[in-house]
Amino acid sequence: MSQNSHQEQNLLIPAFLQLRGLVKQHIDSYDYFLTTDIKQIVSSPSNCCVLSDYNPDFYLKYKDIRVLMPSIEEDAVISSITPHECRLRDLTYAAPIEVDIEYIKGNKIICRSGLEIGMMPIMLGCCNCVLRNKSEEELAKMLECPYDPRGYFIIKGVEKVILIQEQASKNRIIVEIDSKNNVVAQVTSSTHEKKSRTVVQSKGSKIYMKHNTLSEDIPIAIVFKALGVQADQEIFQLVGTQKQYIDALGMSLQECSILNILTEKQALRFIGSKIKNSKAAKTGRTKIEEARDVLATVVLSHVPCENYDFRAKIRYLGIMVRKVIDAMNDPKKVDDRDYYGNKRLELAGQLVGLLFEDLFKRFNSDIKKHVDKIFSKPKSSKGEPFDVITAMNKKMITEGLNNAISTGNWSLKRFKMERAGVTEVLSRLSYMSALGMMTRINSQFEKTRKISGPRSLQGSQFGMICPSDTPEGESCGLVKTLALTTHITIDQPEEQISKLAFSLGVEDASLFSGDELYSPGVFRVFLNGQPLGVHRDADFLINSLREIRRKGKISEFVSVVKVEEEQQIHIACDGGRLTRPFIIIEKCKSKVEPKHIKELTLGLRNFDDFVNEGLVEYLDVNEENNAVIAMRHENISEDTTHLEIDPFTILGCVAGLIPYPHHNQSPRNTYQCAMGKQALGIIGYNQFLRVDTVLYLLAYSQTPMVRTKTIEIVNYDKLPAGHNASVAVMSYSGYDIEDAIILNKASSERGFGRSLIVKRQNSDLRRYNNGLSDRLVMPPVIHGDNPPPSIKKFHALDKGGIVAVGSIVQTGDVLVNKETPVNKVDDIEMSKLTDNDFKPSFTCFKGPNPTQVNRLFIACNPEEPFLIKTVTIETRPPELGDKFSSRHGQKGVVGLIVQQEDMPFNEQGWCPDMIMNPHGFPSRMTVGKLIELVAGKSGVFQGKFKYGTAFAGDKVIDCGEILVKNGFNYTGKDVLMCGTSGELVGAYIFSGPLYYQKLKHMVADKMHARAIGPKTALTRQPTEGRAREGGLRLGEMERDCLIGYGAASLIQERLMYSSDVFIASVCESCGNLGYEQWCQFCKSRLNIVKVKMPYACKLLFQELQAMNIRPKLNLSSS
Amino acid sequence: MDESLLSRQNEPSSYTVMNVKPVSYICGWCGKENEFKSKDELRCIGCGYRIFYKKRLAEGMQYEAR
Repeated sequence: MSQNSHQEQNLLIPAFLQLRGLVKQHIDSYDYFLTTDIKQIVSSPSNCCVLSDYNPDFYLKYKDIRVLMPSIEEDAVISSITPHECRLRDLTYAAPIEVDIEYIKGNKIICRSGLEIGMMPIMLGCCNCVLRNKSEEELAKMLECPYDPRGYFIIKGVEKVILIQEQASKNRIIVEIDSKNNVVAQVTSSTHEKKSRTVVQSKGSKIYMKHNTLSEDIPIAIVFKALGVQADQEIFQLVGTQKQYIDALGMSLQECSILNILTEKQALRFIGSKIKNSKAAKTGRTKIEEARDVLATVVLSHVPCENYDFRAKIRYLGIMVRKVIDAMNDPKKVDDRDYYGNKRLELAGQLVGLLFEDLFKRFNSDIKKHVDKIFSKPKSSKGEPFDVITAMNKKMITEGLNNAISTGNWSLKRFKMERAGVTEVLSRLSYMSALGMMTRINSQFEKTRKISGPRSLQGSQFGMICPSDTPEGESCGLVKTLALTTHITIDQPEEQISKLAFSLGVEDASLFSGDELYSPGVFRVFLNGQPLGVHRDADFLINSLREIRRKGKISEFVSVVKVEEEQQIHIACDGGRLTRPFIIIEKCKSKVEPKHIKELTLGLRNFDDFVNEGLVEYLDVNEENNAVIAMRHENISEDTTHLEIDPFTILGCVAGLIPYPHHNQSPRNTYQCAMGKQALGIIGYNQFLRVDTVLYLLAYSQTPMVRTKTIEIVNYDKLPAGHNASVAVMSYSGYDIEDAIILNKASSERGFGRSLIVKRQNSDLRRYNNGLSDRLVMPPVIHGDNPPPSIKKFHALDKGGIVAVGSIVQTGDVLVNKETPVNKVDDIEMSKLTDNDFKPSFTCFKGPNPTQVNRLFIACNPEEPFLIKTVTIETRPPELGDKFSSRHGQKGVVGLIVQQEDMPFNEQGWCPDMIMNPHGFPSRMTVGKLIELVAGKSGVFQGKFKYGTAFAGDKVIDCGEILVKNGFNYTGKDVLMCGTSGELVGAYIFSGPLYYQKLKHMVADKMHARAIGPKTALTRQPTEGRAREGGLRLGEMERDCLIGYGAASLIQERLMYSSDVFIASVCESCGNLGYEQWCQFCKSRLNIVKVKMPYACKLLFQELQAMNIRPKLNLSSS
Repeated sequence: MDESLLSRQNEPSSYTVMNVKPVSYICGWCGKENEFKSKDELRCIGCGYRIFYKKRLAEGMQYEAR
């Protein structure tokens, strides 16, 4: 029974993902931004109105803001757009932002609603997207794939993803030990207005406060005094009256009296004199006032402080000092920086929110500038009174947003934030690569630093972050992937939670003296890192809050954590925390019963019902510390509070493709995660309608024989990338060493590994400023069978000057025969131009093989009036050197393609598609691959898919039994006959189906050789790189070899004669370079000699001369 | 080199093709055939859609099986 219900409860995961989807976190966060955050930004007091310094009567007030559905305005017609149209036409998928305003015009108050202030890029699948809640049929009508992950933006036709950014959490105290062995407690305060860092630090035996607005460290006692703490006793009480605190604080207090600072005023004056770039002189304020201002607004800015009521700040500072002293006495109290509970993930919604607020502020300040300019001038009595709407620049917000998303540069002046690489182009190499990108987490750490801490897997990442999916090399461990069921929270309003906490018996901390705060049995309650108050019965508060959460009265993502050692309760409802769902266990019984699962399968219930009814709940990384989580049903004990839904969810979606990953050596799974993203396959149901620059597709993609649950959940079975190849694990011919594989020629002719390369080429007919535009020209007539190549390249064009759809083109063939006017400046009428006023600027096809023009379309967008896009498809069968890989990090290139006649076969006539060398196994230890083969083979005989789900999956014993029942060897070995001699192969051969992926690295794209070819203009040396048909470099090390061997002539030949020989004229008398027959320096032609030297050498001499260095050549004959 | 090979010297007179015989394109939305001159605004007369596909070669093509 327990086994059975365990089997069933993993049905919850598809239910979870059906509801949430893998990219739900992106979409949720953007929804929150569009519906809630944007309104909060506009209604916040610093943004909601614009006033004028010159006209006190004037005001402009924003009453509401909305983002509409995506649309485009063309020729004064507003029409709605679909994402696919944006991709085709290079448009931005954006929606107008509308505001309702109230302002003064003349002496009247005017209300306007629905005023557009810019365009907001819309994330696909969010609440304002046309794809939201559409059926497959409706999506098909919009030419959209139902399995597309969405969650990205389309800017100028390019799909852009805002990657998840990992950050240390804001507004939390983190205690560390710095390089000088001092204990440091720091807080990064972040509010809507400001961002600052406050540090409390031990230095020797004293404690200081550090802040970037202050030029010096301030003794902590002075800070307390400046904040209005009068008595030293009060300071002790705020920190703690136990011996260790008094001892540690003693020296700091002494420092105060040494400096003779005894009163609040003295302390403020002391701080005031330490403020960096003080504005006191300018504004006419005293240093005391300025210091008080800094303490109120900049230091610990996230702690509320109204009317200079510093009590909350004093308590917060007390906590920080206490933490420092604790850590000084007990190094174990230092926080772990890499602990995932101290991390927050920033998503698209938050990032765009920051950007929008910045732009909106700029938008308002621009309006203010304009308004001030108008009102500063004397009023003209005549004419229309001034209307603010004319001062609004719609383009600013639109372009600001578009530029940031398309370049990935997030620069916010307000926070001094300058971040690059926030966005990336969505990789459409395969379905998996797109999915993998959507679940990727980027870390802000520098890649060059050689620290292992942030790179290594942290215990607290369990279940939240995929342990396998990370790149190798420099960004290893810094770029991570979300696990399957991870959900990232969004901001939740604090008021409701704090009210609830107070009504559950939390007492305001300001009613307590410092001493009482730290008495045993009293728990200090924090809400989002902010001290809320104290509670005398911690368990009551925690249990009630959790009960209320399970009842669905507060958000399911609120976390309540009890930290016993610190006597603290942390309630969190902020955004960016990682959470994942668990089944609740009460009294050793799972709350999810078989009847619930039955209702789920009948469709009477969805995942949210499980959460709302308190059967399943979300725990974040911190709350997991308060839970006892059983991995499986049989592990449930008396203490157990939660049960994992299914262990395989600790892996991400890319690692989920691997069958039997728990049988593989761990790095192999990581390799597969990198390769799974390079596999050719089906990209989406709309793949042949898309217009990506390059698209690699597999012609006859097959769904894998051995599946995993993840494969079905992420729809990889519907958009697969690979083939079920019959593989014989044996040696053959010697062309299979070093992981090379032998391919069956007949298989490849049947379509194994056949790929399609879809390429798109753009050419646009531009219109120039003088009114002229590019034109299309009829191609020259081709006479005879063998025209010269310069004419032959026009062969595919029709009379329209555009390539005919369906024709075959080769490298260099013209696709669009375009001509550009020579004169793009002067005003000339188009009709008066002659043919000589145009120069050809045709677009050519590039590619290794003959290729078919598949389709061609013309479109326009506001920037380009006539856009021609040509899509070509090339079919490529596998060839020698193409790269293949199984799903176990076992890659190899094709070493030999063998006629089917020569392949080994069994007595039934079966013959492998591929032969793999057994030497790949012992050192790699990819046992999962062996099991995949056995499971696949048994599945073939049963006519069923087999499952290799992580930590579960079909058992090898069962698969072996099936094989035996079908007359095969239990271990999957076969008797094969040699294809060439017909003799029995002298060993039993392990053979069966394995899922093989064709990777994008293909010989046709890499093959390169050249004899004489193009040279760079400056140095006259051969060009570099395959794209420019470059030469193959004889580098320094190769040169060293030749020198060592003494092959002087060979060096000369390689480095000069075959590269950039130049015959220079040198004057023997002065040693300068001269003309052919003339030395300008000696004004003579007598001593000119011809010298062979590399052109680069001659260039160097001339460049030296240009900077007043005269290289002199002393010639001697050899 | 290329310039001399363009239409104008092989043909008695040169035309921008748009002036000779407009090629018709199929609207990506309603399938209606549209004819443009290059200066024309790209807009379907039937439905206002702005993406147009070129018709496939009328004559048959023979491809090498690869």
